[in-house]
Amino acid sequence: MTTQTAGLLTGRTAIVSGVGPGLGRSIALGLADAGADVALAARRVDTIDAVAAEVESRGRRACIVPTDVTDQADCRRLAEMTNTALGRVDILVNNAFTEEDWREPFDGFDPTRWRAPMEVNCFGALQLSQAVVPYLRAAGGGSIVMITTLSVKNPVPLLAGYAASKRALTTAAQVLAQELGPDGIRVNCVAPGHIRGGSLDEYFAWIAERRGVEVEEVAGEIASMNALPHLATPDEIAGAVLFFASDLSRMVTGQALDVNCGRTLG
Amino acid sequence: MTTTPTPVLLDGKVGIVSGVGPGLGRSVAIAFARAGAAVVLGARTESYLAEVQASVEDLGGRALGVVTDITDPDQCDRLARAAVDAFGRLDVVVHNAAAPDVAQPFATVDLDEWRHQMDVNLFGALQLTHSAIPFLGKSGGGSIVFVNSMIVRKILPNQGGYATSKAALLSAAHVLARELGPQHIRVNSVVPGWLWGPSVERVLRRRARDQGSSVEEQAAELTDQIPLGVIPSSDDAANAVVFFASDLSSVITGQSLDVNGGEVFH
Repeated sequence: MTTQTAGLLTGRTAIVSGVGPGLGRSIALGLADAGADVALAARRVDTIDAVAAEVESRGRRACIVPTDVTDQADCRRLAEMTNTALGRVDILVNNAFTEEDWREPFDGFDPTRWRAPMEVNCFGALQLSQAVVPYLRAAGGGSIVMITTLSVKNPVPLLAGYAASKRALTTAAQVLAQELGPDGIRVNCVAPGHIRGGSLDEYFAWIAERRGVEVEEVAGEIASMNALPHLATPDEIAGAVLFFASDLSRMVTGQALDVNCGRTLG
Repeated sequence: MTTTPTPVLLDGKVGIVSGVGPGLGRSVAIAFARAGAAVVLGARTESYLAEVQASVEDLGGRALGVVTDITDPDQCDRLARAAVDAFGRLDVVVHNAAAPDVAQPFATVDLDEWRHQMDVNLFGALQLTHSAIPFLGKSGGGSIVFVNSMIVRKILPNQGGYATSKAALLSAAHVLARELGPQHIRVNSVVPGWLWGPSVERVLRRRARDQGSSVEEQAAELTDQIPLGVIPSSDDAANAVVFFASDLSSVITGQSLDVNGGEVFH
């Protein structure tokens, strides 16, 4: 894919929030392979330092901005620093989401605990989108991509707050698509399902050990629920983000695409 | 301006495109050729095939035209086999062929008109898919792309034959995604809205005549419903087809993607 996408985003600058070792990194590197310069945002500097080096090894410029998307001043600073360091802003990928474990049954739990996923996943993305809009307008248009989740369509027990926050974000994206369309700013959602690597593979390893089987057997059972007998890797999911970031989707806005090996059909 | 590489998202791939006329079919064939694919063109009208084949070859691409009526099983087999005989493999099938929609109120329509729409738009596409599957399987997988229509999202009166045939086609895409997934054949749908071209211009001229206004005023009535403010081009829809044909969508199956400037959200 690296040589195939060269030229897709030449001359463009992208911001990616929530850059960790997983999907955020793959998105940033995918954008760089396609020719974009990339501003990398996360709360922890050590992760984004490593990704910045990988962006630069691809011959692109990188900009590191420690950012908490729940802080409006941080969001404005991220947009302004990107514009100053890299010259423009064309693309925003709202990938940041909270990693707090808030799984708990609805019965008897404190509903104010929904505020955490709502603040990060929904309001954080909207706040950062608001901060970049003036720069996208100045660039003559642009693309905002929300990373949502399978849980928007297939919520599971114990994750009401998370699912609701991402569903709220999906609806907000449709409103933004309508309001920002006249400025040539497109807003779309990519909804991944299971993603290999990181915490999912740790979960598979835990199950595998309890059952006395190999990790890949556990992964295979989950994969068999999909139309494509496969679980997507972060690099594979990044392909959909590249589509929405680029002029391939010049006339596509307000859409939500499920990227989950056909776990859902729509 | 410095030379920007052209993304070769379909490098080394071979694709069939049905319904190659002067509109979207032609745009898909050209987009495929620019992306590095060899294209095999199916249509009933030899002159259309010749023009598009020549245009692809002028770009330095490879193309073969085969006169084909997709409602004929033998002709579908011949088209699929011609692709493999000419270019050694088959990776993608794009079902663009459709019967032109006929505006007739349900109450007085001869239902054979609806059956004809179903014969071409649904069964023609399925017939060609039948013929292609054995060859797609040999390539280790592949991608089937159905060209659908915004009519399935936004019902207009008097187009019941067209709407129901396209709705059936969307459901068929889901079934095929599930059934063919184990063979690593992905199945997705592009859902174009209004696309600028000869048939839309005809519609606008007719409306202008019926309402005593101008084509420009009629076009403005359409774009009032479109957040991005312009009617997409057939190249915009073709780019969505390229996305689904390419490895950028390698973990996407059973999905539909709307190219409509934001007129309808999915």
